[in-house]
Formats: sequence, structure tokens, C-alpha cells
Amino acid sequence: MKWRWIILLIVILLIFSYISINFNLLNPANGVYETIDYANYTSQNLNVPGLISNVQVILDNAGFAHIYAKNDHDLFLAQGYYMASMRLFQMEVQSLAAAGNLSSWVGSAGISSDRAMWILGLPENAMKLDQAYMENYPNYYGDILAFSQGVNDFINTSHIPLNFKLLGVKPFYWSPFYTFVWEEYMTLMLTTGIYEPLESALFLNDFGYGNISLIWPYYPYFTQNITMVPGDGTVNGFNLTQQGISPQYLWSLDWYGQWATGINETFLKGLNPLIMSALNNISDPYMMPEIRGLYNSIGSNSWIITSNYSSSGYPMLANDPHLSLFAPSVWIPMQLVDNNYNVTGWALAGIPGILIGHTNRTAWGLTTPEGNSANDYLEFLHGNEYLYGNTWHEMQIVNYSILGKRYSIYLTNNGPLISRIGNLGISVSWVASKPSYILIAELLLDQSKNYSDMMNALKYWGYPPQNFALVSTHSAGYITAGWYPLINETLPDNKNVQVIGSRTLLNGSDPRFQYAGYVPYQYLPQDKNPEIGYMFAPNQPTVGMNYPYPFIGGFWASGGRAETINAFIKDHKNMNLENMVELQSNVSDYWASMLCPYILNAIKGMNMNNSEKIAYNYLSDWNYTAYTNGIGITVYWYTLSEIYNLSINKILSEKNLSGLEEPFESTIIFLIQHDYNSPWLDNNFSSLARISFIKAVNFLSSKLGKNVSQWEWGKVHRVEISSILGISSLSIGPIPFYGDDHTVSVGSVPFDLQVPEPNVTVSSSLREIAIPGMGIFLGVFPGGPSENVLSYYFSNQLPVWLDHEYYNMNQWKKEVEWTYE
Amino acid sequence: MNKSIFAIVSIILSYIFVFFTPYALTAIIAAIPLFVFKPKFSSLYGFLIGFIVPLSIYIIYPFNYIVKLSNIIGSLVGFPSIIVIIIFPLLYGIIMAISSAIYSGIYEKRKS
Repeated sequence: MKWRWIILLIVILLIFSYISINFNLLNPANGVYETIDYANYTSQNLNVPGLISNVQVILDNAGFAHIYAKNDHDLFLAQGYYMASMRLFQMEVQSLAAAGNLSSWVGSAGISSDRAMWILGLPENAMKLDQAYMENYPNYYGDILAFSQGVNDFINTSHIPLNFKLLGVKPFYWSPFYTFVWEEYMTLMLTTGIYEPLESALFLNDFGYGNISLIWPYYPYFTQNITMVPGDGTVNGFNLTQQGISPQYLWSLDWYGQWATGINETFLKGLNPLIMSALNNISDPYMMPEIRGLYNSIGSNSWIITSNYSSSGYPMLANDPHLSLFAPSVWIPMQLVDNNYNVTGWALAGIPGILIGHTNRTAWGLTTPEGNSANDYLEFLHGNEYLYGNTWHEMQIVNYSILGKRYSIYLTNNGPLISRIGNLGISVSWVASKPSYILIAELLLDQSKNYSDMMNALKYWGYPPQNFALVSTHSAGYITAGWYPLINETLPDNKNVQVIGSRTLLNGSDPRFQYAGYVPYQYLPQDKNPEIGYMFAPNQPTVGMNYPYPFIGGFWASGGRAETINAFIKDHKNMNLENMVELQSNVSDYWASMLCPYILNAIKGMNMNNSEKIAYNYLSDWNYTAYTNGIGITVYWYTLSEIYNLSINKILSEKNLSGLEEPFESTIIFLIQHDYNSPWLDNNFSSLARISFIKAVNFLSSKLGKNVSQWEWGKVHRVEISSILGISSLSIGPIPFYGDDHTVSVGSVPFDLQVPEPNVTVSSSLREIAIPGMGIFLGVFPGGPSENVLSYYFSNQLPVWLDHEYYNMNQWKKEVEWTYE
Repeated sequence: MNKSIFAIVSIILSYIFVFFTPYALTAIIAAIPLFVFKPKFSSLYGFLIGFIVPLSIYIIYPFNYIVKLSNIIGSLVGFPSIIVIIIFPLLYGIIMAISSAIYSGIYEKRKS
């Protein structure tokens, strides 16, 4: 061989060697294919350092893990090991995002998310929590440390899950900080009062008080009598009237006015750029884009039936929290058993204990109450100083760096500045900046034996405030547990009242608007075994207008699901298990049942072509349900979308406010009933409905064909369970899906005119039904325990969830058994 | 010494490298024993050993999992799944073929 050929071969070798670097991941022995080794779980003994005694872990046919330990230390260590073996990547990427360090894995794509986390103070808050637990509750801190050790024991096995390989990163060692920071992230997702007052201010500035009170009333239309706590708002004998304040007067006031906020309305109007900048700075959390949104779309259902209203004589509970559906789910199902614990349910990946579940004698569920536990303040600034009272104070500065670049956060007495233009800024005062021991509350719930144990546990719960549905063998009720900061307000009639939150920005320099403590535990919204026989809390107002601490910052859901639940339970005296299941799978749209007759009335009698006539017939025969094979729901939804686009959305768009959430259907219904020719209804609802119907039918004909009988809801309405990395090949779906925004079995989609609709990404993240008195516990969630996409346990419960069926959590079959030793 | 011994050593080296390192570049080292063959045979053996050794490792996995994972990776990178499966063995084989040809060529030069 000649030298020139050898040199040529060397050059070619160099080229192929360079190319090969990109494909090392596909090495069959230790690249991505190694994941296959871990797709099937087999019974074996595993060495888990740090255990005092052996721990038995059984994975059942439904994917629930049953962990049996001899002491708490081993129990939580084993929980950490098991959780990491199933969900290590999810735990780490979530907590890294929450810690404002995602960019270390994904590069510059993570910077805006990281900055948002730092600005809102998540890493700092988590560090404070870490310190507070260590100092004040060393026993519980020991449990959290044991959990961390379990995670790290798994990391030391050198098994690297698929997603780490795909991202080209290695696991980092876990510590309690990551548990706390993820807890803070979940709190942020469920907090009301950070984004809402800002968006509310934008609406107010462009449309004025008259319009905002019409479009976004303090209590959404038709919800005053369907509050979580039955009655007028009196809690434990305390109400507004007793304070000499008329609820009618209080709720008739302009709570956006200067007297209530300390900010002149004309001055507020000039703040739109500052408000927009604030929203931009804190609106890019990487994984959960729906975190932002006025009256945002995350919601949940729960209800309890008292023993008097139950056919069996035992109280019952149902819960289905609506969260972003991810593959894998944020939940991981398991049972924890030792001398102190025997609890079954769903843990949050990365957090020890069980957050939603049951013991042998108690069960509990959570929904979000949508009342402010944070508030935004307008700050007057001068250099590095802020004005408070009549004096200037130095701002505290916290420095951090992302990808080697240094950033600073400036804090006033209210909290971190989330935006600044010139000498004005906006800060956020959020209860999560102070340590709250919610993990203790969770672990005490996990050990509860009766109703009062649960109530005592929830005294530790600070944030986010949650509606806790509670049921024991003989009692049932609710409490909205958590810290609601109070603001002292002086009403125009000079009476003083403490209120929860604000509708818009508060003047941060005015001491009058500082927090003045929290709502006392005994007066948090609550009731037990109500006479009416049931309670429900699907994000509607929690209490009536006579509540002693008015929820001025209450950004409630429309109440459509609450109306359905209320009507159903009222119609089913002596509720039984089958009724509970039936209600949790209900796909009736309450607002549609009110609005559709108005639409039909408006389009009745107009000249129609053949497709329009058939579509009209489907709509008039429709029973307001949203099943995948339904046609009426498709015609209704696209007609409604056109109604929104030709009226409200057009107005919002003209003011560059398209990003704000559309007003509720209940507002449209109210306007139809009270102001048929409102500008918000394009000056005449009849013509609006007619044009919308015609356009919707034309649109559907062009997209789905002229055969109206083929316009099935499942063709346009589909659910996608997205990969945590947003990689479609690791996601599940899209799958034809039932429900809509207001059905109990929810399937929210925006009013976008497209076929198919954008995929449903938020729905029931789990479903739970419990009757502790009868030992009946049903549950299901849309996924499986494993994050390994090849494993049967990646999505084993999904078909059951899709069919509205359940696993009986007391009847299971062993599939795999591990002994941790 | 029987030249097939060198081929066997090369096969063993290939298995060791493929199992214990992720790098296709290790084919350059695994190809060294093949210098004893004439260049055209050396490159042919190099390619065959380099291609078949990594490919044979797939037999330790259930076939349906290989297909499923290859489909996922394929849709991620925009390749057909069959390419995803054979790309590493192919590159390993090519690198080994070229390397062994080079070694063999140099060895011939030295001998002459």
C-alpha cells in the first residue's frame, strides 16, 4: 500500500471518528438500549445501605408499591430508594427547575425559567425551610434525611435512566433542599395572588371599574349559593354582621379604588408597561406554562357526603385534583407501613409521605381554593432604596449566577422586586417566603386515626392554602387550611375590616396595606357534618358574603362543576358508591345547559342550508354531555368559540390583552339575561349567535366534511399526556377524550378555532373515592409508577383511568417483591 | 503463529470495548491485531468484526423492546428505526475496517 493511500485512510478515519462521537448514545451495550434491562421488574434482594432492618417492598398488579418497614427511618429510606428507582429523572429535573438551575442541564433554554424561580425566591425559601426543619423539628428532619439517603443509595447503583442519557447529564446527589424546593414549586403552581392582580390591573386600566365589575364580579355569577361552606359565610359563629358591617354594603364597594389600594386610578393607568414587564419576568416556568393566567384553568373536584345523606350510613369522599398531565405523572402510588404508619395513596415524586390518600379509618383530598395567599405591591424606588412610610430604606440584595452570569434580586419589606422601570417597581409578598411545616401536616395526616387527628395535623399547613376534604369512619367535612394574610382596610363609612388579598396592586409604601397576621385557624372556612348532608369544593367561592374575613382577592372558578355536583347530589338523596363513581365520571356541561337554549332561540327560524339544518337538529337534541361520540357538543363548542372570537376576544385583542383568560360562560349568560345588546355581546346577542353558528358550521364542514354525523367530539377533542421533557415520542396520545372545561370529568381546551382543538393537557391527575367506615377505597391515575417508557408500569393505569374505572386499593395481587437489606 | 488467533483477539477486544465503554472510537484499538492480514483482508475482517460484534449484543434484549426504543429514538432524531439500530455497529465496523487497513498497510511498508 502506498503512503498516500495510508494518509488518505487516516483522513477518512478522522472524519468517521468525529461523526461517531454523536452516536455513542446508540451503543447497544451501554447506550440508551441499557434502559431495556430495567424495563422489567423482577423479584430480588437489593443492597440498600443505611437500613437498620430489612424492608419488604411489593409492587402489585395495579402498580401500587407496598413498603413494609420496622421503623420510620427505614420506611422513609426505602420510600426514597423506591421512588428514585422509579422516578429519578423526574425528581431531579423538577427540583432542578424549581431550584433555578435548569440551565445547567438544558443550557440557555432554561435561563428565563431559572430567573423566574430566583426572582420569586424559591431557592431561598427552600434553604430557609431546610434550616427551620433542622432546628425546630429534628425528628421530622431525620425522616427527610433518610428519604434523601434512599435516593442517593439508588444513585450509587449507577443505573442511569433513559432521559439522563438523552440529555447527556448525570444524576446529582439528593438532599432535603431538593424536596423543599419542589414543595415550593408546587406551592407556586397552586398560589393565587401573584399573577391574578397584575392581569386584573391590566383589564381595569383598559376598561375601567364598570366593565371589570361586570365581566369579573367578585363572586362569579350564579355562585353565591353554592359555596363550599354551606350558608351565608358564618364560620364557627363568627361573621361580618357581628362586626357591624353589612355584607351587602361591603360587596357593593369598588375594591379597585384608591381607598382600598392606596393607588390613584389615574396613576395606575400609567403602569401597564411595568405590569407587563412583571408578568414577563415571572411567567416562564419551564414545565407548567398554565401556571400563569387570570382565573387560571387549573382546578379540581372534591365532595363529601355525611353519614345522614349516605345510603350505607357511612360518610364518603371523592377527590380528583386537576393538574398538568405528564408522563410520568407528578404522583406515584404507594402504601407505607410500619409501627406508626399504615397509609395508602399518592405521593408527590420527590417528597416523602403520602399527600392524598387514606389510612384504615380516615381519608382526605385536596382542591385549590383560589383566594390570595400572595399580593403584589407597587414600590416607590430611588437608587437602591424603597419608600416605606415617610422614609427611604435600603433594599436587601441577593446575588446569584446562571451559566456564569451574575444576577441580583432586590427585596423591599414586602418581598422581591419582580419588575422595575425607573423609580417604580412591583414586589410580591408571598406567604411561602416564611417557613411552614406542611410536610409535618402531611405526615400527621398519614398517621391519622380520626377526624380530630386530621384537623390537628392541618394546623401545621401553611401554604398553599387548600380545601381539605376530610372523612373518617363517622364524620365528614372540610377546612380550607393554610395561611391567608390579612390586610386592615378602612371602609368608606370609616368602619374597619380585615380582608384577604386585593383585586389589584397595593401601595407598598403605605403601612396601612401591610399584612396584619393570618386568618385564625378556627375561622378558616370549615364545617363538619353539615346539616344539608354534603359539601363540595371544585374551586368555587369557599364561603358566602358574610364571611368575617372577606376574600377580596378571590379569583374563583366559574362554578360550572360546582353547579353540576350540587344538582346531582341534591337529586340523589341516600348517595351510594355507584352514585359517587357516576358523579366523578359526569361529563355534563352545566353552563351549556343554560347557554345553549339562548343560542337555539337566537338561531331558530333563520334560513339554513342543509348542513346548518342538520347541525341545528343535533344541537337542539343535545343533552349537554361531552362524550367522545357526541355531535351536539362539537357544534356547541365551535359556535361558542365563534361567539367569543367575534365579541369578547375581539375587544381584548384590540387592547392587546389577548393573553388574558376569556371571561366565563356564566358572564355571557348573565349579559344575555340582563343586557342583551351589550357591547360585550357585539351589541346584539341574536345576530352574534346566528353569525357564530353559520361560521362554525362552515368551518366544521371545511375541516370534517359536510356529513354532520361524522363530527364526533373525540375527533376534535383529544388528550395528550406530555413527556416531562416535551419530547413527543416519549409522550402518550393524543387520544380521543371526553369532557370540556366545565364537566366534572374535565377536559379543558381554549376557544381556538382549529381542528382538532389544542390537546387537553390538564385533567384529573388522580381519582379517589373513599368510604373508611366500610373499608372501601378506590383509586386510579393516568399513568403508572415507572418513568421507563418501555415498562408496562409506565402507563398501566391509563386505560382504566380513561374508562372511568378504578382499582380497589384493598384488593391487590403481588407482582414483584423486593427485599431491601 | 496462526493468524486466526489475531482475529480472535480482535473480537475479544471489540466485545470488551463495546461492553465497558460507550465510544465507537475504541474500534481503532480493537483493530490493531488485524495488522497481520493483507490490507484488503484486514479491512474486510475489520469491518465484519466491527459490525457483527456490536450487532450481536442486541440478542441480550427482547426484540420488541429494541423496536420500541428504536422507534422512540428514531422519531426524536428524525431517522428510521432500522438506521437507529444499525448505525453504531456500522460506524464501529467502518472505523475498524479503516484502522485495520492502515495498520496492515504500515506493517507491509515496514516489512518491505
